[in-house]
Amino acid sequence: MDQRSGWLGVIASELYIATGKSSYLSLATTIGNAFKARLQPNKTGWIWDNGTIPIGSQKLSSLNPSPNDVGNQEGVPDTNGANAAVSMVVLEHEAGIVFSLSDVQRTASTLSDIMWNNASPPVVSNYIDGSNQPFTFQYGPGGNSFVWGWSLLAPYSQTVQSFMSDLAIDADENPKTNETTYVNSLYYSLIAIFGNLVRFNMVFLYSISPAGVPVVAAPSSLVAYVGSPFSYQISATNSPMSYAVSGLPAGLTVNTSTGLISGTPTTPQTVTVTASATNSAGTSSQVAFTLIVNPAIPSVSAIVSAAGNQSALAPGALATIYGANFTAASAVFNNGPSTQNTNAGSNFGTVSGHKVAIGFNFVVPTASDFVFIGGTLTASVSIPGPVTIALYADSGSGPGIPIESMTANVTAGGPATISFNSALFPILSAGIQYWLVVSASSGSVSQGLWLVPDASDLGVKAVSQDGAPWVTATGTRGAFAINGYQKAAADAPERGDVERW
Amino acid sequence: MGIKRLLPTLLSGVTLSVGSRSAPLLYVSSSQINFQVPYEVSPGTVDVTVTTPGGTAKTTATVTAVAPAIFTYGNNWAVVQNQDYTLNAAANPARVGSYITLYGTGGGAVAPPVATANAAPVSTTSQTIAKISASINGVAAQVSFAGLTGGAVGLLQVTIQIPAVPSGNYAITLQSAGVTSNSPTIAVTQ
Repeated sequence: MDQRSGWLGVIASELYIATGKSSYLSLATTIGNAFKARLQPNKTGWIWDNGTIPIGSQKLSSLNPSPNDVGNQEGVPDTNGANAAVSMVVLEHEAGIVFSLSDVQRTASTLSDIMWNNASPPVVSNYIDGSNQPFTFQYGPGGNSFVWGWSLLAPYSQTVQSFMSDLAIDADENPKTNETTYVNSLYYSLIAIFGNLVRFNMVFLYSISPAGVPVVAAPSSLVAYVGSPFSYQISATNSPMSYAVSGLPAGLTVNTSTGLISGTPTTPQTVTVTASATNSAGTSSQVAFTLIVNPAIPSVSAIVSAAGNQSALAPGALATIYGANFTAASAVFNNGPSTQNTNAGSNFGTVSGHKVAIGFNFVVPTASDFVFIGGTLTASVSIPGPVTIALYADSGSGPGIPIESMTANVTAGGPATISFNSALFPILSAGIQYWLVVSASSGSVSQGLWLVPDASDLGVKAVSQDGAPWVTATGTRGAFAINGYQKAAADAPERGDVERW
Repeated sequence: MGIKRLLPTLLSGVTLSVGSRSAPLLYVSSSQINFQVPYEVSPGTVDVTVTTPGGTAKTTATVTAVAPAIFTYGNNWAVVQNQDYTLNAAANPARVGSYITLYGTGGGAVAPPVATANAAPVSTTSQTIAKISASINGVAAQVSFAGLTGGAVGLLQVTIQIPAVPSGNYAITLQSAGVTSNSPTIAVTQ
C-alpha cells in the first residue's frame, strides 16, 4: 500500500462521483481504510515539504522514501510509511471517504514532533521554504509562484471543516489553494484538474506538537442571569483537545471538545465551577472559579394607574407597573413594619357576644391563590357610627400593612348588612396569613362576615372552636366566615382558624 | 384605630423609584407591581425604575397634578357602593337621588395632607384639594365628598348623588382640573 494506491483511491472516488457505480466506491473505501489502518500515533508523518515541487507528475516522485527526496522531511526517510498513510487518509477524506473523528485525531497524532525538528514552538516556515517567514511561504515552479497566506494557526477545533470549494487550478496550472484546520493540524489542499474527470489532490498537512500540558485561565468570577442565555469559553494554553468541567448550575452545560460553557440558567445560585483541559501531553491542573447566577433581569412593559388603566399618574395615586421577572415569588403583599398598638381596647365591639380585640386572622388554606373580592358584614351597633372593615397583611405579630379597607356608617339598631367590596381585588396567596379587622367607633358589632374568593375556588370558612359559631351569613358559592373564636390581640395566628369549605 | 401603617419601599427584594423618590409598594409579583406614586413627585415626565436582585428596568411615566381614575370590576363596571353599601351592578342599580360611594385613585394632593406611604387617617378626612366633579351619562352629578378612604393608602373615595336620569346603565366619569377619568358603567333606576 503506497501513495500510488492512495491516488488510485482518489481516482476511484472521483469515478464513483462521476458514474455512480458502486464498484468505484467500494474500491475507494477499501483503499482508504487500508491507509487509515496504517496510521500509527506518534509516528513521523511529513508531506511534501519541498517548496520546489511542481504540481503534477513530479509530486508522485515523493513516493520514494529516501533522504532529501521530495515528500519527506529533509533527511528523514519515510521508512515507517506514516508519510504516505497520513497523506492518503487526508486525500481519501477529501475524495469522499468518510473517516471518524478518532481517525482524524489519529492522523494528527501520527504527525509527530520530528516534523518540527523538536522545535518549540515550531517555526513552520522553516519547513516550507526555509525563508524563516512565519506563517507565509511561497510555492511554485519556474517563477510562477504564488503566495499562500499562511493563516494563523487556528485554535484547536474538532470540527472537520470542509475543503474549500474554490480550490482549482488556473490557466497555467498553478494551483490555487486554501486552507482549513482541524485537530491541531492545518493542511493545504491543492487540486489539479486534468480533463473533466480526474482530480488529483495534493495535501500539505502540518501539525503542532503541544509545548506542554494545558494551563487553564479562569476568571475570578462569572455572572449569569436566570432566563438569559449565557456562554463562556474556557481559555487554556497548549491547544487542549478536551475539557472537563464540574459544578455547573442547572441549565448550563459544557462542550467537552471545545470548552464552551453555554445554556440558560434556571435557578438563582452561586456555585463553584472547576475546569481542566487535556491535550496529548496531559491534563492541566484544575482551576476553580465562582459562577453567580442572578435572578432574571426584570423588564417593564407598561405603567398605568391602578384604576382605569389611565396612562397619566397623579402624586399619591395608586399605580401599577407591568413587566416580567420582578420577583421569583408568585405574589408578595407588603408585610413591612409591624403594627403598633394592636390592643384595640374598647374601640372594638363584640361579635356575636365574643369580644373581638382586633378582628381575626386567617390563613388561605387552599392550594392556590385567590382574588379577594369582598364580603358582607351583618352588623348591629348600639350607637350609630362608622364601622370599618379592613384587610391586612400579617406582620408576624398581628395585622400588618393594610391592603384595603372600607368604612360604612351604620345606624342604630339593625342589623344592617354591609357589603365589603374590594376595589383593588388583591390576590391572596395560598398559605399566607392575613387579617380582617372589623372595628366600630362605638357600640358593638355582631353577626357575620363572609368573603368571596374567585370563581375557581371553593372558598374557606372559619371553624368554630368553641362550639358556637356565630356565622350567619353564607355565600351562594364558596366563602369563608368568621368563627366565634375569641381572639385576643396577642394570640398567635393559627391555621385552624379556617378550613376548606 | 391607633395602628400606624406605613407601606414599605422594599418588598420581595424589589424597589421602585419614581423620579428620585422611592415608591411605597403594595404588591409584587413576577409580572406586576402595585405601588403608590409619591406625593413629592412633580408633574412632568419622570423615570420609573424597578430594581430587583436581577437588575433594573426603566420606563417613563407622565405625572400630572391630578389623574382621576375609577376602579372597575367585571365587564367595566365601576366599583360603586349604593347607598345601602351593596355593590352597584346591573341587577342592583342605584336609585336616582340616592348617594353612592365610588372608589378610584389619582385625586392628587389632599388636605390635610397625608404623607407618602401612609394610610389616610380614619379619625379625620382628607379631601382632595382640586375639585372633583362627576357626571353620569353626561349629566352632572353632585359630589358631596371627594377624599381619601380612611385606613387605606392612596384610595380615592367619592360620594355622588345620582342625578335625574332614566333607568339604565350609564357611563360615570370624574373630572378634575380638566382631566377626565375612565368611564366605567353604573346602573341607575328610578
